[in-house]
Amino acid sequence: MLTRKKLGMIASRLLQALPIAVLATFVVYSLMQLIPGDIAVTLAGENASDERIAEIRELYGLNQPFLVQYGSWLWNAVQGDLGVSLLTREPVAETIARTYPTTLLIVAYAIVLSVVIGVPLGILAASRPGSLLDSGIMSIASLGVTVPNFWFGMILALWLALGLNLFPATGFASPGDGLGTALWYATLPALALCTNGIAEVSRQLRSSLVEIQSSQFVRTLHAKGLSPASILWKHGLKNVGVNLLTVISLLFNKTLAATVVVEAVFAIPGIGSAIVNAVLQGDFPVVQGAVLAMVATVIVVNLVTDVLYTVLDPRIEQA
Amino acid sequence: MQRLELGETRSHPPAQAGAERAAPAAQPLLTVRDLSIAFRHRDGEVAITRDVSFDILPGERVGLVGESGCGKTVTGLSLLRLLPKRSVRLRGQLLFDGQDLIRLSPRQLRAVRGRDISMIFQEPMTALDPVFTIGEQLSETLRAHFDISRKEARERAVEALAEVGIPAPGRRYHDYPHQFSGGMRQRVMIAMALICRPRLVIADEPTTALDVTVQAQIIDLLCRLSEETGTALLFITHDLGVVAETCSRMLTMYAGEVVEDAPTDAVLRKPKHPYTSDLLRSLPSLSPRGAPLPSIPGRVPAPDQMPSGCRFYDRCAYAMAACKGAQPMQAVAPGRLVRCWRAHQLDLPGAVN
Repeated sequence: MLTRKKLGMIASRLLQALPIAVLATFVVYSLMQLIPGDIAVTLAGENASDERIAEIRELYGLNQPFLVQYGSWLWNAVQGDLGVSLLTREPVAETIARTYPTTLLIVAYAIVLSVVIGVPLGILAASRPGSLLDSGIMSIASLGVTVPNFWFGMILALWLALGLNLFPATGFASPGDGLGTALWYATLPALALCTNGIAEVSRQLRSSLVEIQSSQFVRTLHAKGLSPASILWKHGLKNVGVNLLTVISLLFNKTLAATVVVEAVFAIPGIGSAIVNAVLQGDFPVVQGAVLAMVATVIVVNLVTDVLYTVLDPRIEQA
Repeated sequence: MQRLELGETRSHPPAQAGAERAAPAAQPLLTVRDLSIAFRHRDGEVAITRDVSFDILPGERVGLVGESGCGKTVTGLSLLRLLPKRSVRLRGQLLFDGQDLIRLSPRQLRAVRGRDISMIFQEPMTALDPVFTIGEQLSETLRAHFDISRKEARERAVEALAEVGIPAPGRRYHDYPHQFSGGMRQRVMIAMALICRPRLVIADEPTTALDVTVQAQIIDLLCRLSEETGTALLFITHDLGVVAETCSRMLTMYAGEVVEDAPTDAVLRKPKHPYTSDLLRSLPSLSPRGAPLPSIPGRVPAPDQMPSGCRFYDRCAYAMAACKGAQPMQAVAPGRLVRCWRAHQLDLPGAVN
């Protein structure tokens, strides 16, 4: 019964997500039109004649009206064909498969760091609200929210990579080449990305825990003779679970977007770099494919979050 | 013996038992001596209660009554030291079993909480953890105090649910608080408070938040179970009817002080403190039909503007100049204490004439 209900929810959420995915690709397609530069000129090479450029436009269908171009892209995409890169002729699906695991590894690494560092900080701050420790942690957290990722990334690269030689300053190893090496390369970008995460996780956790500590049911737990440790770790954390999950889910989406810049700082061949290059050169099939992949990821993450809500809080009904 | 008699004949005035009991025969279970509670704030302290003293005998049912804000709930919470440590200062003695609860270490205190003294709160809607099953919340109480297996704890918890009249307890063990009605949740709270067979239960307005139709059931249940287990009850309430029916002794609080401590029957017939008398006469059921409901004029003085003498002075119909002097509790009859120097001169109307 419950599982059927859950499956029904998942199906309906996926259906609702379809128009979002289409709309996102359409917006990106439209924005690509506004970017100056003409890929046909690039493809024709230097000193190409106007006829040659027109010929190339004809060949790639670039002379067709905007809506027709988008329509044919969408039609192919629905059938599973994301097209090929205009510049390299590499199928877009392969570009995604080559670059996306790298990006996902960095994002996942950054999220894990955010949680592993942010949760203990939040608990520490909440254990003595109003204390020096609390205000210290919260001031650092406020700083963490405001520090720009790319700037912090450059500072890290200067200090830990170029100064102390602890980590490679640039480049990347694909997760396929061995996870250890891949993680070693991913550490600096993940550190650069996790400052916001640590700050948000610890701030959110602190405020939810402080709120819960003054709630009536926690007074009941004290009256039952439970230890503060059991009240915090068992009852406190499960009660803030929903809030924490929301933060992590939002954080994932934000971090995914932030990789675009951080990959550029560390010269990492992830999907962010792929998008940046493709946008600069007007290689719209790559941009469209990569954006679609990211949108799909965000949709799946949100869906998993919704399903986990119902596990963590019995009061949430699947709608 | 007296307890059984009391519970089975609830319609009879229960307090003959209390009058007999008033002779100091048994050793008190709990002795509260000069309990003063103060809330700290930036510029100092505000005294909430002053020199509260009373005893509770083993198995005795005591009612603690008074207007909202008179310090009833705070007194109840302080017995288990459940008030926020940082903002509250407790002075005095809370003698339970020969140990002073105020001086216990946190670890020693936890051994008493839920095991020897437990508490039932006013709001069953918010007093249970929403994300754990009620079964888990019951059995974790047991496992916090006894070295028993999960399976055994579960069996005891299901039994406890059956005892408080929850239908299909084995199945409902796995349900969450939001799946219960208010009355059923309060039954769960009662089961939780009694599961370790404590010697004292503090019930802080346990029926105020419930439908009128289930209030009597819950009070009956609480009284029946406390009798069966020999548990003493401190009933904090503003419902004098409940006290009249269930308690052998009544403590009246006003503005942070106990003003009268007497057997219920005696105080209902002949209150000795003007405030108790006014409180009894304010019962709507006692006033003549069609006549305006009696009320007590004025309001409770603010905690930081307490008069040094009688705190009821401004509202009292019998006030005299000498009332402005300090008012200690004085014995007016065996087992009857009143905080009013005119107690022996006054003949005050009660609820039962």
